[in-house]
Amino acid sequence: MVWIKRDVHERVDAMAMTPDRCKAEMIGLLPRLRRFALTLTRSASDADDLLQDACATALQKWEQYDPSQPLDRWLFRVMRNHWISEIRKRKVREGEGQVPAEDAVELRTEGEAEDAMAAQHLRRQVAHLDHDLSVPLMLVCAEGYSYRETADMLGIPIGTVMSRIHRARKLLASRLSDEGRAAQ
Amino acid sequence: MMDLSQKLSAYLDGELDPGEAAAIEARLETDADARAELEALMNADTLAEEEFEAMLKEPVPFALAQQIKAAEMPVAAPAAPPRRPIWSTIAASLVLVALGGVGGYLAKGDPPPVQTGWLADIADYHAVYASQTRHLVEVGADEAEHLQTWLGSTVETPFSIPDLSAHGLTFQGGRLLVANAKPVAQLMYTRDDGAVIALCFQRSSRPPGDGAFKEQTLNGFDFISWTADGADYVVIGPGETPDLQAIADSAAVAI
Repeated sequence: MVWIKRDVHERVDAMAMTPDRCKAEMIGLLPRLRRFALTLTRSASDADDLLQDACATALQKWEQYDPSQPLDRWLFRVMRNHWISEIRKRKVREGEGQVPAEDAVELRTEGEAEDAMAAQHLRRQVAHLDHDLSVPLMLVCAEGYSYRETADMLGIPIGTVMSRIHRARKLLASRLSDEGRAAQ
Repeated sequence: MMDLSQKLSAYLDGELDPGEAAAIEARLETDADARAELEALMNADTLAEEEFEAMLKEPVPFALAQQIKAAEMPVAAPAAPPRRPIWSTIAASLVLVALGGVGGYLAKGDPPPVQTGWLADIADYHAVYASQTRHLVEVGADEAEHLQTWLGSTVETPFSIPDLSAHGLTFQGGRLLVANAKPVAQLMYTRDDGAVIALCFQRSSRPPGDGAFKEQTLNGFDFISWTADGADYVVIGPGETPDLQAIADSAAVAI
């Protein structure tokens, strides 16, 4: 068996990045950014909120973007930092007792379409993985990043990337095996 | 120390050094348990890839795309990197070739020419996407039916995907863009020499046209545009594409 290394991510010339080009690229990246948000949050409504916030932050802080890096990696990092911050805020809120109804994500009324999308997402096996496992798996398997690139993006050791991807695959394999047995 | 299963997982990702990979391959030849474990991991991988791929097909909030398009951004450009790895220099040179005139003014640091209308937006998008290979399109040609339903309803312009193979063009798929604060459908075709030709259209806010073609060159790309049946259409190709008019003729009939 011969393994063909995944393509190096293509990128546009960072030297030529202008505001309009940055915006055009960002719009083109929205499906991948939303997938990253879905993988992080495991919730369609949280993913859309996170996507919105991360894009707003990226547009405001565009000067902080290092054009020697592909835009998608920077946006993934912005989004991950946002989500970590959001998780911290929620923990603080939970620690302080009651959450006002208007701030409680869980209490939001969602349209039928959004409910359907959320239900569809939960039917996916990867949605049941902890995001610590599913995010590295998505970045390597779906986005084609190397372990080193994934480790850099997530700020974790390369060995941790390797072990988390393995753990994610084992859990998915176990679910497939259970499903296979149940179907017999 | 990595156990066998973890090594197999890293092997799947091409992350083992050549010596370790050769050792794994040798073991797989003789060890049925190792082969079964690899198969289980590959099945898990296939499932994950399918599910992650499905997430890409969910609709992206169009309002967000509009907000990004309309957003005010700080004028100062990000700082240029102090040095660049060799592969990025190669990529940059390829992009500059692909961008033609765009690369020219950007490299010289001159301000971009002022352009208005949806065609200027389309030129910006084409500069970005025509240089992509892995992410040329959002939805591939293998999902033509989904593309027609999704883009047709979003742009509010039902359409058929023109077969332009007579012009040496292979349909690759499409994506949704935003221009003039309205959704735009972009269908992408490639030629054997790597040139990317796009057919874009959006709901027209102009009075019904006579269907006449208009030729323009923007940012180094050639455009042939027309208005018909309540929609504006444009075919875009690299500068001096010889048969662009013939392509536009075929597209106008088939779409």
